[in-house]
Amino acid sequence: MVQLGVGLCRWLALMISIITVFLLYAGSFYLTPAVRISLVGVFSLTAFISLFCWVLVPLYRLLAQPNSPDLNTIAKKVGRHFNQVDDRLANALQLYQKRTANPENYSLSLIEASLQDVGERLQRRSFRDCIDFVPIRRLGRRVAVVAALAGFLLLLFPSFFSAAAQRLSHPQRDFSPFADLFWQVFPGDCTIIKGQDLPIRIWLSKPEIDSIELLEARSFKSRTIPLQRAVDDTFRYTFLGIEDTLSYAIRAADAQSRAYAVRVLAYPVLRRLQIKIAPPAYSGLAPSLLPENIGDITALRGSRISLSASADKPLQAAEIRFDDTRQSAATNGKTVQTVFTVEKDDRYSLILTDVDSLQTPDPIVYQINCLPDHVPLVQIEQPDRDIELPEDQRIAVIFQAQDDYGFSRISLATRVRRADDSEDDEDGPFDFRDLSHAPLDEREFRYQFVLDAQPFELFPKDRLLYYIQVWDNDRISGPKSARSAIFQARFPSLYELYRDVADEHDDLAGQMVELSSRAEDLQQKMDELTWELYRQPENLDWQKRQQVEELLADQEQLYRDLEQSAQDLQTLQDQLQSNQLVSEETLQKYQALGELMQELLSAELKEAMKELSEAMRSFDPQKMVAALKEMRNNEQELQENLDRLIALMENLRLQKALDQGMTLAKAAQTQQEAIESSVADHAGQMSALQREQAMVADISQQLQDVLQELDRNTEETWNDAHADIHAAAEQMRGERLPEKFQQMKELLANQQTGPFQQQSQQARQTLAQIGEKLSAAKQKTSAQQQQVNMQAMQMLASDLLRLSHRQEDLLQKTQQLTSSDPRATELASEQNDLSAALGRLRQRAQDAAKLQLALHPGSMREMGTAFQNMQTARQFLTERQTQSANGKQAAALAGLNHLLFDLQQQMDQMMQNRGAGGMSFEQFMQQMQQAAQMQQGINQESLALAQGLQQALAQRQAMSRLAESQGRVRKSMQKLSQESTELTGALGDLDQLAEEMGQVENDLRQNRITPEMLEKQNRILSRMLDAQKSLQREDFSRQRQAESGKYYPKASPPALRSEQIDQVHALQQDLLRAKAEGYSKEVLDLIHAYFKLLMQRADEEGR
Amino acid sequence: MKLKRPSISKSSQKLRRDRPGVNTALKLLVVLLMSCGTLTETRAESNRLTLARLHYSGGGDWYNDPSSIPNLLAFLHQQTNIAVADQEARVAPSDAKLFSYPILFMTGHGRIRFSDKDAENLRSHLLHGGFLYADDDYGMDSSFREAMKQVFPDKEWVELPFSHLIYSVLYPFPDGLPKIHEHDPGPPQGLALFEQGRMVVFYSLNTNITDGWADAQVHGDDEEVRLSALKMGANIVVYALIQ
Repeated sequence: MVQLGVGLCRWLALMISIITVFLLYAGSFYLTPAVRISLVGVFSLTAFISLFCWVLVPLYRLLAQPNSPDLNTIAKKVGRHFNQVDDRLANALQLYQKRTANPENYSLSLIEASLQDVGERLQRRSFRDCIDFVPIRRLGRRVAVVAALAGFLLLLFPSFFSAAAQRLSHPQRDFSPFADLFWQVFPGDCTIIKGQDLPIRIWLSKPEIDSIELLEARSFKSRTIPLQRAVDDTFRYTFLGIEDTLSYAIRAADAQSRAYAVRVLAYPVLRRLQIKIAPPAYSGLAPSLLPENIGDITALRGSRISLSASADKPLQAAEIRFDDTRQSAATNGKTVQTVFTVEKDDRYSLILTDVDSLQTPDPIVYQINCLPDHVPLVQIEQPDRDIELPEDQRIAVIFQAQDDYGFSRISLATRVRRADDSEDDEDGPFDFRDLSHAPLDEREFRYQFVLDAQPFELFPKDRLLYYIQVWDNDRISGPKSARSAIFQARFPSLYELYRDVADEHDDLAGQMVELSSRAEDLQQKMDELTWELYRQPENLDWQKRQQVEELLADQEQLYRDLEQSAQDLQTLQDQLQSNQLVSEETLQKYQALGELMQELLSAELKEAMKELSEAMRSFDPQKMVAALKEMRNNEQELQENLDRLIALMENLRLQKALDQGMTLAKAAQTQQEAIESSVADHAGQMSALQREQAMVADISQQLQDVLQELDRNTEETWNDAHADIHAAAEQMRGERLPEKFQQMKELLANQQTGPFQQQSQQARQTLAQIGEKLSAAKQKTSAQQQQVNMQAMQMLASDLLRLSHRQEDLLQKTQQLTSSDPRATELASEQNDLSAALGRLRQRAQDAAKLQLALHPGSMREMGTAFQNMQTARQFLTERQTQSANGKQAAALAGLNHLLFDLQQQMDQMMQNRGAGGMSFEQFMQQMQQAAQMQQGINQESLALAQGLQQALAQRQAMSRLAESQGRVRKSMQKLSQESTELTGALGDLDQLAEEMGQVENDLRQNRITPEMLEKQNRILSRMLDAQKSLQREDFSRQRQAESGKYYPKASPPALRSEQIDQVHALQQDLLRAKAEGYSKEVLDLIHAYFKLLMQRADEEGR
Repeated sequence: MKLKRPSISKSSQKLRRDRPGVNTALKLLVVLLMSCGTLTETRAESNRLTLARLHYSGGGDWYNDPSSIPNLLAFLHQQTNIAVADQEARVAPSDAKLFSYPILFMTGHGRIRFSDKDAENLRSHLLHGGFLYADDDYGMDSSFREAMKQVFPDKEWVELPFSHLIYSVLYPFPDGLPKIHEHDPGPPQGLALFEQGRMVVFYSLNTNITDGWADAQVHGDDEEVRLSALKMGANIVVYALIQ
């Protein structure tokens, strides 16, 4: 306990001393926080160590070793303190402690006696007297002294020591060197973002200090900033846009703070950006790389964008932010990479996060422009409107398609709309057929193909609707399609074709009439104007000029209308030819009409208009008069030709109607035969056959109408032919064919095929007879016209020849005259007679030309020129200008001779087109065709009779009728043979053919139908058909013209594969058969090997 | 130039596939057919081979070029030792007599239409040894293909390589079919339908072989062209007989 007390005193003394000294030191000197911290640390350490050693250890001993020191030590200490006791207490204690064990065997009375002895000696003695309290008292006194001293100082200098104590108690805080000056600096040490501003605020404990200095130190640069106290009692300063690390300190009243550090951190910055765009594969576009640091993207939807970027510092993370979504990006050091797909228009920015978790504060926002894959376009260019099907029912279709990236499919959509479909059935499904050869890979193309309407089995008035549909190759959003407009190809009925053509013909004729009338008016105006100008040339005023201008404008308009009419005529010709609506002869006449029309648009007329226009510009009355006269002459010729055209067109209209009748009769016959054949073969649906039958009824009704019109209109114009036409019309009326065909339709509906066949055959016969009559009429009109043509031309040639001789005589007489010879006036009179004669000839030719196309339009012009030359020659002779007259007479004579030559050539040409007996080639072909058709009909009926399809009586009657028909064919062949020896010479002997026909006729009369007879009929027909073919010089269908084949080099097609020729199956079948034969295993193995080799060989050899 | 009369060579015989059963049956059939007559055949011609012209419906000119078959038969008579008739036969597809003629022929410009019975009869005939040669005289192609689809719905046309036996069995045609007449530009095509390795239909397209068989004055072809056509015709007939 003494030690504890001593230790405690020591410790207290030490603490008080140290504290006092430290306070004195801290108060006397300005200690930096480091020093203060050190002092505090030393004090703490010393205090702890001393406490431990001086207090805690003794305390521990006191508490942990309650028996320390022990009794023996205490006994000795008591013995030493009390002399009379000395060692006796220790001895007695030892004896007492060993009394139990007592190894020396002391007696208990001895031990007790020793204890008693010691007890008596220590009676009235206190053990407390043995404890030495002097050190404690001494140290206590010292502690008291030290404490008193410290207290004294504290009382003397309380603020000194309190300040020192405050500083020591806050060792880290910065204190003014002076005890009463404190400051607070905000923010002190800090970290800011580069570029940010840093506001500094300083508070001082001494309000009387109004200004301080802010010391700024940057790298290699420092400055001092004076600061004044602000209204809020602080000193403020803001460092603007700090870019680099800096430090600052405060200086006030000779006191300076420590340096505060400002750490500057920068945001991550994007240094490089690279975008790669990979468009979707279907677009066929190549990947592209944007220029560096360009982030705006324009790409096709579905494009893959590869983005790579690098920052100015290592990154912790990166992210792409779109308008609606986010996507993380991979980072590796300073680089960033990511991939995304363009789906829509959007914006994006790249957010970088550095290792200090600083993110890009204001990233650039880039645009994403998503390019759509546009809908494709398709347009049918040809035909670009609804059309009527041509005869071969093939339409050349041209369409154009375009898409930005190509196509995946192109199809032709078709649908048939029947004539009897209800109007409600407008919408129906289309059938699609892919145009597999169309160039799908191209982005824009024009493609042509032929749409064959035949497979659709259209009937007249049926319509084929079609359009083109395309799909693009967009594999991202799915193919988009577009389709063209829907066009219709209509199967026109014969009636409609003829009606349309007739309407156009009538329109054209009307145009001619109007143009002729206008031409006549123009002539009259020209005459009046010419007379006025001639009479009073000085009166060429503005008004006259205006009249001439109007006249010229009317002439030009007339010319343009003529051109349009010529074009309309050409269109009409094309229609007639392509649909084979008229015979070749009639078509040739239309072609000649077209040539005549072209002649109207003569160069001379244009030249005359041009001269008048120039004359007007020159304002010369004489020139204008001459130009007007010239134009007037041309106008007159124009009008005459127009009148001729009108007359010819009227004539052609009747020819066309006759051709129409023949075509309708033939069409009805052919169609009826096809129906009969189908019914006989039990082929085709009854509904379709009824429809066809109804069509035949329509055609027969049209035929009846045409025949009636022809009957009416040809009574006065066609003398010979009218009888045949009348007979045909009467027969048509009497037989009532349209009604009969309607009845046949009912029979079909009721499945009464027997009666149907009978009536059908009769109806066909009637049609054949009507066709014969019309052919005969046609022949007669052609023959009549040919004859008239030839006669007219012969007469004209004869008169021209006489005129030419007279002109030649006159020329010779004129050549004998001298200049100004008075006899010239007599010759002038003779010349006048000649020109008058030529004028009459010309008139006659024009009148004749109105009825036929015999005379070439150029010939009329020649005649007109010759006439003018004669007139001029007469004028010169009147004026006694013999030499000039001579020239004009020579020119007139040359013109006449040239005209004669032309006429002769035309007559020769006409003769070439005829047979030697006067029959034209076309007439011959027509008769041959007609006879062949009759023969075909006879053959079919004979076959039917041979098959015994009729009752006995009816059979006999039919045979008799057939025999008569055969007889008629025989006679017409004989007649052909007689009349056209030149043509039939190339065919062989038509007589023999006729003889064979006679044999057949005999057989039929004798009711004998044998296979030999039938075969003979077939041979007859074959030879007739062969004859037509071998003589046919021109075929409407150019496609059937046979030229010798050319050589086209071509590589051999590939070898045949086994599966192509079904050989695998064949070999397998053979193998199975062989196996079924029951051979031994060894033989079967051989057979297997053999077939295997066969198949291999077959593949190799391509069989 | 007089032509030799080659007989069918041993090499040609070797080229036949070793199918003893079928070949024998075919020969027997040919012999049987040739020994049977029709009502229209003369007694003298009853054992002779002829080509039967198919009289089809539809409006096409089945009878086109009537001199062509007789001329071909005459050529075969001159150049080979095949016993051939003088004239062609004519038969409708639905006629039972169809089976009397091993080799059928058809041509024309226009439309062909087979009834169901026609198609069935024709199919049966061709599957049981018959052979059909068709020549497009320009214009019948689409109709013919449609008609054959009716007869053989499952078969597809195969273009024969130039090495095929039909181009060399009697006369050599190393470049395939000769182009006799020019209708459309382009090389000719020889197409065929096969049944278990046997050609049942041969179709010549864009050449018009049969025009070359017709009388010279019909088309005005020179002798070389006609000879080429006749030789090819002979090839077709001989191939049909020996395959």
